[in-house]
Amino acid sequence: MRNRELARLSIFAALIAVFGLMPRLDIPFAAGVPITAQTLGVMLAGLLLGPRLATMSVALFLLVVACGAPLLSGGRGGLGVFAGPTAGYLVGWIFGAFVIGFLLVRIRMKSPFLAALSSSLVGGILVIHLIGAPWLAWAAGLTLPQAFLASATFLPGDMLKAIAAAYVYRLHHARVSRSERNA
Amino acid sequence: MIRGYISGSSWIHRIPAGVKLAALALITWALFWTERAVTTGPALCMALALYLSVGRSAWGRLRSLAFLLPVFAFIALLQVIFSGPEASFVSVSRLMTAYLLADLVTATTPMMSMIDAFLWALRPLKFLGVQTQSIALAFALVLRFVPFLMSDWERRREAWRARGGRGAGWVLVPAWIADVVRLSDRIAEALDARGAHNDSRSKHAKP
Repeated sequence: MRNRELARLSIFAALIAVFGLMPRLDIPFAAGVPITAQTLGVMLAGLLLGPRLATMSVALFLLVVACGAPLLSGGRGGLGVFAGPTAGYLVGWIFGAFVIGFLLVRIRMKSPFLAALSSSLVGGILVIHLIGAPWLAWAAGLTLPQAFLASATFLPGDMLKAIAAAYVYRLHHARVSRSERNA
Repeated sequence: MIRGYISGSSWIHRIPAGVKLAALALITWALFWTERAVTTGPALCMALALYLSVGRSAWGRLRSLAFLLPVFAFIALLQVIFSGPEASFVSVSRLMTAYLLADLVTATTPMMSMIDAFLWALRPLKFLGVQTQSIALAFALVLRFVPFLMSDWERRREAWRARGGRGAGWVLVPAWIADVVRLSDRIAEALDARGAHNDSRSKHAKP
């Protein structure tokens, strides 16, 4: 691996942490449901790094958390979160980031915003919930519909994050293509 | 905020990290195959006894885990309604035991011993072209980047507020991300300049 790739995936792993720790970026949407910007970091990694680096970046972030760094939203960390009932969502992030990066380069859409939005919706929401909810059902002894219902309380926040990620991607895309034209 | 490692010298602190991780994986795996309260109840008591054996600081940590209670209460309630009290007790005590044991390993293992144990377990990744020393370098970079990016973000937000900006500062994020990407390229140049070779295919790579 080149140092350039290594630095980039490390800095995005750190960005995922920072998005989760930013207290003022919390979206006060549904009271009691902790909606943080952390998965926004996962989506952005998928959109801006491509499938391979994004997968490694999210896996690296989770490795740092597993080693005891309190970098998950709310200052959680350590091995406990991987033994908890919601660990499936964390594992889902790895696959989600991959799918986002994978879809983005394959979707043929004129608008970069819509391409980023649709890959964030599939990879950043659908994939993560499809892994997280069955895991929750299995670990907590719930039925699948119950687990998906519990999972669905996060949907409004997730939608907002997918839109935000696509917005950031569009601006980034415009910036990059502008500097390429000037070069 | 939950602290990770609690310094100390209890008998659990002295067990090598790899042994603790292997034992944890084995016990957690076994735990999720049990369906009866006669197994999960004593398991929970034993987990609590382990905390007791570590000492006072570990007990203090138990209290800081109170934020998990709503989750467990929610699961317990659903289970009592749909599957009866015994199933409810089994589910919740099993989850609590798994969580407590995992957290105990985190509390009694310094982060550097933990990463060493993980890197040892990740050695097979070499066949996929991932060098463990690259993972170690990336790990260190993340630990350094987090406080830097936090303060960088705060600085930008304050500058923006001083100029009359209001709210959370979402509009600052796109430019910030662009600068962060640029920063990572400069870090890569610094790594190159200092002779950190991570490219296993490069002819300059260390043997």
